Amino acid sequence: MKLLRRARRRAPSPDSTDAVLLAAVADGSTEALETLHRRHAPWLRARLRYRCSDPDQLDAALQETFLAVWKNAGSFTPRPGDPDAGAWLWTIAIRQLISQLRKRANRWIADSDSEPYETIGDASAEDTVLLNIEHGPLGAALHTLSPELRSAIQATVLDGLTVREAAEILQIPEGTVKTRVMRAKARLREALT
Amino acid sequence: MSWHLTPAQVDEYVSSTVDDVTAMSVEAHLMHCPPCRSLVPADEAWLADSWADLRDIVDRPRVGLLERALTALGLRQTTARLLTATPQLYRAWLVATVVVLAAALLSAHHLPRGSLLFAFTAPVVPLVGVAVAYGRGVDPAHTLTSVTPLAGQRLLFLRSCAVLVPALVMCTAAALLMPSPTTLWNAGFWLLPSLTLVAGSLVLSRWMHLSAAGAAVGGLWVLAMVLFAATDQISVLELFAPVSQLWWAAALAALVGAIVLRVRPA
Amino acid sequence: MSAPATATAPVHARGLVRRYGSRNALDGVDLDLGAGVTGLLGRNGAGKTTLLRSLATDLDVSAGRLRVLGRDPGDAAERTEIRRRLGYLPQSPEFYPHFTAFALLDYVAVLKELGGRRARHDEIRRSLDRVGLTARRHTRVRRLSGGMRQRLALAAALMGDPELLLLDEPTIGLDPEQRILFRNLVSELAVRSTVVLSTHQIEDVSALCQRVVCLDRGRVVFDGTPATLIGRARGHVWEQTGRPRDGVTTWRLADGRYRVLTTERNDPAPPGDRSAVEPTLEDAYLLLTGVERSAR
Repeated sequence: MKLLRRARRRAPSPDSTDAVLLAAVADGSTEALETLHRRHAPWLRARLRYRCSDPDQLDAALQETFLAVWKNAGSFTPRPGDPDAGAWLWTIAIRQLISQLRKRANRWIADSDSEPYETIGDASAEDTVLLNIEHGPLGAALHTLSPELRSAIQATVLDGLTVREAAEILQIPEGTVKTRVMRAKARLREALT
Repeated sequence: MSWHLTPAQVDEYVSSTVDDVTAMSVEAHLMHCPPCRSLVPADEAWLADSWADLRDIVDRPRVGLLERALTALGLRQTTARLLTATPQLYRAWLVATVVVLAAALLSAHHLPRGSLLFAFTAPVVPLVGVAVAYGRGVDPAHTLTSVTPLAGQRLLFLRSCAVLVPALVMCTAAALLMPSPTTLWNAGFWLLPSLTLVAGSLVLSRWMHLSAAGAAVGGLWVLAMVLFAATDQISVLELFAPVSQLWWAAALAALVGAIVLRVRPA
Repeated sequence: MSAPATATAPVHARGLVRRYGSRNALDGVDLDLGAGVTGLLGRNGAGKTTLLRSLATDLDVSAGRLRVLGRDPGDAAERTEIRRRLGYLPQSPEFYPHFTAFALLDYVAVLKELGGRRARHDEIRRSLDRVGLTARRHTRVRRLSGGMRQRLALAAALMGDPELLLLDEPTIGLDPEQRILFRNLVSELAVRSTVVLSTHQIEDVSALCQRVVCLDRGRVVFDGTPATLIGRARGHVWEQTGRPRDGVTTWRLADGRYRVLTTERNDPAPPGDRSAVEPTLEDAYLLLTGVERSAR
């Protein structure tokens, strides 16, 4: 299969969009993967570093991220008019980090089934507001939150994690994540009205 | 995007000197803004290492089923690679072996004294395989590899093993399918002669091309068959009788000893 | 020559003889080779390939003394040691056609005992890059062109940074552009290793070699710098308008004049406009082998 597709691949350039590069990666182009790696690994690494201080785990997570890209590049579906794969890559990276942390924590427990990678879909209006935390009242409101509530919001809304994943990375029970997110959202809504 | 991060903001974010809320803000922005992402400085040394590790995994020749099976059996990966890189003649030999053994089986089941054919051919099958396994003329890549450190005796014996194992398996299978494989004896009488012939050709290969050595030994075998058939006084099967087996065993031991002596100092 | 005439030189040969039946393919070769590029010239059957194969430990010599990288190729253990430090590009190399370029090099690299898998693969990538085959690394050999196969064989020879590199007609099948790349590569390698290349492409020798060895019927008939070889031909090369007499080496130039190579300095030639010209390496080589031919 891959061999046949490889025959008709066009050489992508370092300036190609993410979508073009990912299509080439799906066709087996390591050059395209290298371009993507060069483009995205630095910021993904900087961002993961806020969530994990162990450089070995961090590098392992990044490597797994790009291996997942190598294997699943075909599953990337860009949103119309937006060939950028930043959000898609982030969802892969953060999940790979969680799976690294999980391996470290319970080596004897087999990896649970991995969920398919999806771009962060249409967020709720509330989340969209949250994602535009440039300046202004939302920033101030976030400042008033306790660190616990803030990290719950960060994990679920900003990082796009499920409650279970957030519980894992924050190392608190799932129920606690749920209540913290609810409380945080209520506070923010209060502050913004 | 209506606004962009300043390089200073990016630097502060990367060096972890911003507060949580600013970090969240920067992250939310970075996720959707390629120009600002490109401001994140790349540690070139780290990036090169990271890519080299990654490339090593994604860009390696695909490993064949057989090679994977051999590695799973506990062989070293390099050994498995050498065993599976075989000239096409080897594949032809595998096919020919199946055909010849099938013919021998057919004749054993349907012709009077047909099982004699199997007795003649089974000892030669591994010999032919070894003769086409290594060397100038039968191995296309030989010129490219003949002066590598592992070439010569070591590769030759590795290749011989690649021949012997399937050959012995196939011959054993054929022997078990013979009309009356009632005893262990009937299934294995050909084994010692066959190994002796192979060992003989390997010893001879010191002085001549392996294919020529195989042909010489095979010729001797055929000549012996013809002589026995012509004299009529002793049955050909005498060659496989228990007493003869002792002689075969002794010859094999001597030849293997010669091979071991030769390979060890190399 | 500046090459050290000792047994520790990369190549040291005295009275080398290789017999094929009653014919001597090598007939008493004396040779000492040091660092740098040496070109091996000679007609087909002059013994170039036999000499290279003997140096590559692929052939046993019938008589004489041979030391390669300070070791004796006749001794099994020392031969293996030589092979660990040797790169050999055979004449018209062949491959397993169903292998990819990468897999083929992997097979050769295993036989060359190159490190663990990771180190081996990194070395393969480096070699592929040097010969410009990176983009074709996963192409099966049977789908590669002749020039690409030649480069693939060169990559196989280069793996492991050999101290002695023996190249038998390395530029066959390469287009002019690739030949320039090849020359750059070889001169780069020659900084650290000894390179011996046999060729019919005299331009390669003029461009690359600090030293030329000419073989004829198994003997060394010239051993020196290209400049010395050219110097010998000076005064023996002419251009003239009239058709030269028979028995001299000559060919017609594009402008209608004749280029004449003659072994005699005062060749009684037809009068007319005739001018001595500066000989090229090719003239010198033709004269040298021409001398041998007329002496036969």
